[in-house]
Amino acid sequence: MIKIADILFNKKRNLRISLALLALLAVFGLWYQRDTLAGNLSNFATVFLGIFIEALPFLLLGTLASGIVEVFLNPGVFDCLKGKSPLLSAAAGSLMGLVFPVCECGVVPLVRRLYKKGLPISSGIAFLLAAPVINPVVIASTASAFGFGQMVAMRVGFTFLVASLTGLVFTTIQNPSEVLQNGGEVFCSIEAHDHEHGEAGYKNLPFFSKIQRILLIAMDELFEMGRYLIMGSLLAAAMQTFIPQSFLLQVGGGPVLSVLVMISLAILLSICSTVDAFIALSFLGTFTNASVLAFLLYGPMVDIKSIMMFTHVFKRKPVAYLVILPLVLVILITVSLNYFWVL
Amino acid sequence: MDKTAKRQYLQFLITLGLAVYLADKWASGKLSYYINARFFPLTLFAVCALSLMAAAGWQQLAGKAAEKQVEHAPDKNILIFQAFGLTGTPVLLTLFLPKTMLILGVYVLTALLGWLLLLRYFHNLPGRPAAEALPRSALFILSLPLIIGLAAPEQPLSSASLDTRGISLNAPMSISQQSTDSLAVQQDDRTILDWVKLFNYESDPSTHIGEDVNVIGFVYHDPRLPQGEFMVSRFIITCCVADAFAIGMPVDWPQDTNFEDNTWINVQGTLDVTQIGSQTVPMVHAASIQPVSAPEQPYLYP
Repeated sequence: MIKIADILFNKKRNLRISLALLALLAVFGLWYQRDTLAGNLSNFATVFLGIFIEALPFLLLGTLASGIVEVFLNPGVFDCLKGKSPLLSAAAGSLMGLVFPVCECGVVPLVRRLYKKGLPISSGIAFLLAAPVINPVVIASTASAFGFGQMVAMRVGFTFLVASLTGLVFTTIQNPSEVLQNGGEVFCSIEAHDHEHGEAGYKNLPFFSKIQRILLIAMDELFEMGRYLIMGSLLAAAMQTFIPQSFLLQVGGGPVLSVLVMISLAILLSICSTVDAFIALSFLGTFTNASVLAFLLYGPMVDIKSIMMFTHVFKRKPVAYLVILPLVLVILITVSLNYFWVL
Repeated sequence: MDKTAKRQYLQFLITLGLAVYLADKWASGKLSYYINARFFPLTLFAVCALSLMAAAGWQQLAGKAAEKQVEHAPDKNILIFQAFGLTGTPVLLTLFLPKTMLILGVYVLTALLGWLLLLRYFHNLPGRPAAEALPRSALFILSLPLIIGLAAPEQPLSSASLDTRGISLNAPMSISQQSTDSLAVQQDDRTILDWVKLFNYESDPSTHIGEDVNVIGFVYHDPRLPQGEFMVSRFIITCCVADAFAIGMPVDWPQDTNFEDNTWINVQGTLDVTQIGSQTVPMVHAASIQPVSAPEQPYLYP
């Protein structure tokens, strides 16, 4: 059985297979739409570059934050969260985005680095899911789109709820190596031959060298995480160019279906959480308020690019939990809102 | 040169390349083909961060080379000078001289110069274990945006994408002040977006019938429209082209000159009202239509 699992989940080969599938999808799409090929190809390139150029600064912010955490934060800094009640540490994780304002591209490398510094697993999971919404930038942009009222309160409140609950599920896990790929080891081309600096050794470096370290760590992480951002952007651009959106919009009536459609749109569009509120606005006329809320809740937690990044950092079972638990919770919340309480 | 060093050199080149690419897009104004102007400062931040990373990467490479050959070791200031010279020059040039070929030339020159400098210090550096080298797939995938960016024509989204995106009759709704302000835009300055908004927000838009319309947009032959009419449309983007959607006004053009889809035109005429499906939308009785070149900012921002 183990062997079958090994064959099924060979990471390197899966990467190749997904690349090949992506190529196949692209070829099929091109063949299917060969009449308008030229126009579509340039649109595909434009959309891909658009997503990439838009997301890159946010990924850079995340990797720089991760470098700063690595160099300036002491390993024992999260001891205060350990041994506290599981509820408290998950809730604390959900609110950490207020201190580290990152969106969904930047949060993945940052969370891995924080685990290395001893952050409890449940807090990290809650942080991973909540940070893209519960941070000053996103709260401000949601408020400027919807006005400071119900929608903002429900977005922040339900994100807090979903993230904390999902974090709680991970409470029983004590050792990060149980959920992280490679036991949580971070690829880094500089640490390996600087053993004398070791874990706590950055303290003694001169300031200029510390800055250099931060930049090098950030650059390595950009290359490591950027892969998944780029593949996610390629996939999202391909889907946008070759699958009619009206197809989804036509499906979208009814209290359950409309929620499902908005969630699929959130996954497909892969929009950064700092701006998705403005996009969501344009759906208000077509869909019920609660399904727009589903878009605002689930999109920041899970979309194509973040799933790709998750699979690089976490083992497959935690990734499945990370994708499915919030999905079920968000559907439960918004469908019942659709039925019992019209906004 | 050993494998790790080679890959670090490639990593340095790609990082620098991305910085130069983004700086060039910004300097030439083509950035507005891809993202909302609101986010330009973020792209500039990315340019700075990437060039600093490239500088740090270069310094790491050259510094390591120097450590191994103490007798030739340049002093630290020279290394820092090299690092910022090699990375800063192309980026600065890009900001001041937005000419793609020239920038490409400078970039290639920088790459060659860096390579020679490395060979000078690096030729017999002992190899380190391959496990530490950056994965090859990372180098390949990170260079994809550069390859696609250079190979694909620099074009704003075209009407070809309307086949999958469709055209919307509703303006994006917003409760924010900024957006309702545009109802107060002077009649002559109203864009397609302003007209569509007007019809979405006002209770009785028919009071505007007969007002002068002067808008720029591209041609799209909407299958819902009768013969002799077409849409003059614009894409609206909030964040980047991934969220683009098109809005449009039907144009009644009795001369029926055959404009091809995606031609940019300036339509002047008077406003009228028509029905598409169950919805009341603004339309233009065109008095004159002039083909124009695409505006510098091809999209409208809500």
